[in-house]
Amino acid sequence: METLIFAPKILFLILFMPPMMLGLIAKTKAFVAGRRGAPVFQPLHDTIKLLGKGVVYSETSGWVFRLGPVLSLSAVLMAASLVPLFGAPLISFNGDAILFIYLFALARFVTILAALDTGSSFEGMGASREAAFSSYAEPALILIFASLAVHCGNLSLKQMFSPGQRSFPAPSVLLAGSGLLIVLLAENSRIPVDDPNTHLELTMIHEVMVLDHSGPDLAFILYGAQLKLMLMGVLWIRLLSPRLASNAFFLTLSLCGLAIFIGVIESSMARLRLIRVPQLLIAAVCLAAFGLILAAR
Amino acid sequence: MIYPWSLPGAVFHLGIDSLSAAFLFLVLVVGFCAGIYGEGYLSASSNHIAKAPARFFFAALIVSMAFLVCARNAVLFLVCWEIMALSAFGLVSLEHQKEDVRKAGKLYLLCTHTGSLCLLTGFAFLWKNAGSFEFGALLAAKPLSMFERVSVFWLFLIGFGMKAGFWPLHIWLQEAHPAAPSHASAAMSGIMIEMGLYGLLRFFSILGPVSISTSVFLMVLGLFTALFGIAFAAMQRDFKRLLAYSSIENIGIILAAAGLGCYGLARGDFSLSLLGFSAAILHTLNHGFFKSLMFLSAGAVYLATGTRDIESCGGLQKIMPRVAALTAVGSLAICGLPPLNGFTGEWLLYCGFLQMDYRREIIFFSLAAAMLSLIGGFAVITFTKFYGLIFLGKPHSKSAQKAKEPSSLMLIPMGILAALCLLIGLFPGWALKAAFFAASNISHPTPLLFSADLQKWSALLDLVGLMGALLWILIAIFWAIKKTSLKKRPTEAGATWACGFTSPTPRMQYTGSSYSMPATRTFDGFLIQKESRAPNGYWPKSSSFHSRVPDPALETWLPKLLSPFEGLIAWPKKIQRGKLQFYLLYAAAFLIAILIWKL
Repeated sequence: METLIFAPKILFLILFMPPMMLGLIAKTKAFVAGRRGAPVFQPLHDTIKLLGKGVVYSETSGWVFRLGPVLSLSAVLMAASLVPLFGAPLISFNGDAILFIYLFALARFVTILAALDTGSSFEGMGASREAAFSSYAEPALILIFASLAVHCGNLSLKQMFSPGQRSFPAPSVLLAGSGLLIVLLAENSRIPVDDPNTHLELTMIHEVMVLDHSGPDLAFILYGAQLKLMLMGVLWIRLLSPRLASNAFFLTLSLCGLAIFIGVIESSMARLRLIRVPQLLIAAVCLAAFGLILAAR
Repeated sequence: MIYPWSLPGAVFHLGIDSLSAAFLFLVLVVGFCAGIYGEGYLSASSNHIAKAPARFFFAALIVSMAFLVCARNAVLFLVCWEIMALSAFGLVSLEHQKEDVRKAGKLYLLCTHTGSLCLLTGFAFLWKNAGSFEFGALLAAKPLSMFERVSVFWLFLIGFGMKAGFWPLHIWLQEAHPAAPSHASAAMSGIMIEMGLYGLLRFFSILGPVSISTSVFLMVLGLFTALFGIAFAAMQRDFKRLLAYSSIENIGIILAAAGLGCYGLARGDFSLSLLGFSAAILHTLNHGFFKSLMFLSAGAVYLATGTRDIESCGGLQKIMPRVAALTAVGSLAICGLPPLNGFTGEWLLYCGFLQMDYRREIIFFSLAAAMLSLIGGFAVITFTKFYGLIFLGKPHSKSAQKAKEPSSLMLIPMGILAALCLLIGLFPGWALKAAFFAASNISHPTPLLFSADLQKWSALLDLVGLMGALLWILIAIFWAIKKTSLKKRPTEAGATWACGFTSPTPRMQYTGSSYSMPATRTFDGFLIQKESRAPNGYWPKSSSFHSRVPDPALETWLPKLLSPFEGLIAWPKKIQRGKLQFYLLYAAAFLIAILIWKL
């Protein structure tokens, strides 16, 4: 009986929450700008519509381009099975935090290769930026995980983000949380690192890498990116206070709150110059390192 | 197996324990694959590689390494070491008609003999203490004095480190690997440099536990080597040089893991030392497989296109689909990404770094783990560049267009190595067991602790393997979903979107140097040298831009280090006339001197 209730909740969170968060971000930005904006469910609608379309493949591209979206979505879904949403994760073992980080790295690797497969210089540009910036974001994530692992002596996401951990007002959590927020914004191509709504290919990072994808491929990529945002959002919420994720309802509410928060951040500042982005990410590494020092004290 | 030998102090003593067995397996598998590939490579390459010496030196290299890991006597060990070093020299200078190959060969010979000299001296210390060259006697001998221990440690670190390529002793590596034919570079990079690590691991057990500060030093040295190696790899244009630098990276990771093992020993924490050493051995095995695979595919590309320049390749995925697929496996593995074998060793090392009970050092270890992930990030940059620029997009040059798939004699060995990468990724428990048994030879845990730890970590790694299997299943499911949804819908072919520009050409593709630029911009100015003549004036004349990445250890520090000694060398230089008569005279003088002395 319990699984009968549990399964639909999980499915709701995994399937509908990610596009809804993106919709909420867009809605918030529109509201701040004084527009009405697209409906909250627009991203979900887009994804479903794309799934039913045909595809256009560039003559330059080969099997890497066709396999890339499939592989990256599988990797992100696999990572989703490791994240504790509102209860225990589907799979949990000591050391799964490392696997979590590396699954995202795998997704990035194949997305970059798919971008290079088109032979477009714009996509090469985006790929090069994505690869460089993520290599700074990863150490920050490791340090944040390390500061959590100090307390529970275990490297599984389930233990590290369990209610027994220190929560919000603790200074170490504050530092780790701000580090994780920067990583979250950077890894999910949000302002101030990347502007998903910019109209110039030259200035994009993530969006320009997927310019040539269409149809189901693009749907896979969009959904994978949305899911990644939600997963890191769940980790951020659980880091601040595991109690916010004690049941599905609270978690949904907090995720909506996070989406609005990101929307506010995006409306209140401009994208950084590309040269400044590594500095921001190194700041995240420093924040995480200081958080670790406080946590280990 | 023990046979008497007429050399003083030498016994032809061979034996296999689990440490030897792990390395022997590596030597034989990689040697077999590279050897078969070598036949195909030699027959396909034009006649400028002399075939008979290539075969002879390659066989000598593999056989000497197989004997090396089984040797139980220091003299036998050194003899095998020297045969290995010399046959590798033969392989490096096969194409001796080329100036840069001769230079690389000379540099390698100098480095390897400096290393051998250190080893010889180190063994002399050990012999003085134990009175025998047998490994068993060396182990059982009374403990060394402080001075002897420190000297032997440094001599072995330099001697073995020279072969393994620890920073800054790596100077020969990036020169010699591109110079050798590809199957030889595969054997050199996949197994020969790992013999240096074998030596270190073997003699850690003779020296006894090192101190905590020394093991931290080893870890820092390892991580620095790795970061240095991968940062340089990311900046290379020559793809075999890129792979050589990536070998330095992997050796660094293995050294860091071995340092963790030493730290465990120094702390008396046998679980940790077992974990560290087995991570080192597991990564050694994995590196042997994926790095030789990468060198073999680099050879196939070189043979097909005639260039080692990344910027002149491109688009080979459609021309050489099999090589492309095998290289894709190797690239994923070398970046340490799941579900392939590279991930297993790195995962073990992360677990070792991050599960510490010593609060004082937890910050150091977490920073080490962060450093490891930075190295991983750079590896992703390096190998997306490697794969993307060589195989994807459109051919950048005419020679790349004319490439064709290599013979099956070359493809099958690559297939075997790729299959090993996949299999270890899916069933890491078996490889871990081998690594654990090998590591128990160094850290000597109690049997109870050993079996408990083995069970714990192999269960966890099996879960990692299971996740890999699930990932493959997910991929298959989504692929099927995509195929079925596309069945009734149109699949069109079009040109790549070029922002409204309608006829993009291959020359408009992103280049490798610009690809790695955002990441390596940090090193601008002090590592990357740029020469440019910018167009200026109203009627600009010809302009040019050239950038190169010299190795600071080789091109700046080594000459500085050696310049005080130049005066010393000037005198013996005078004796060396290069005429046979003079040398005969010297020999005669020497003989007469000895006769007089004996009288």
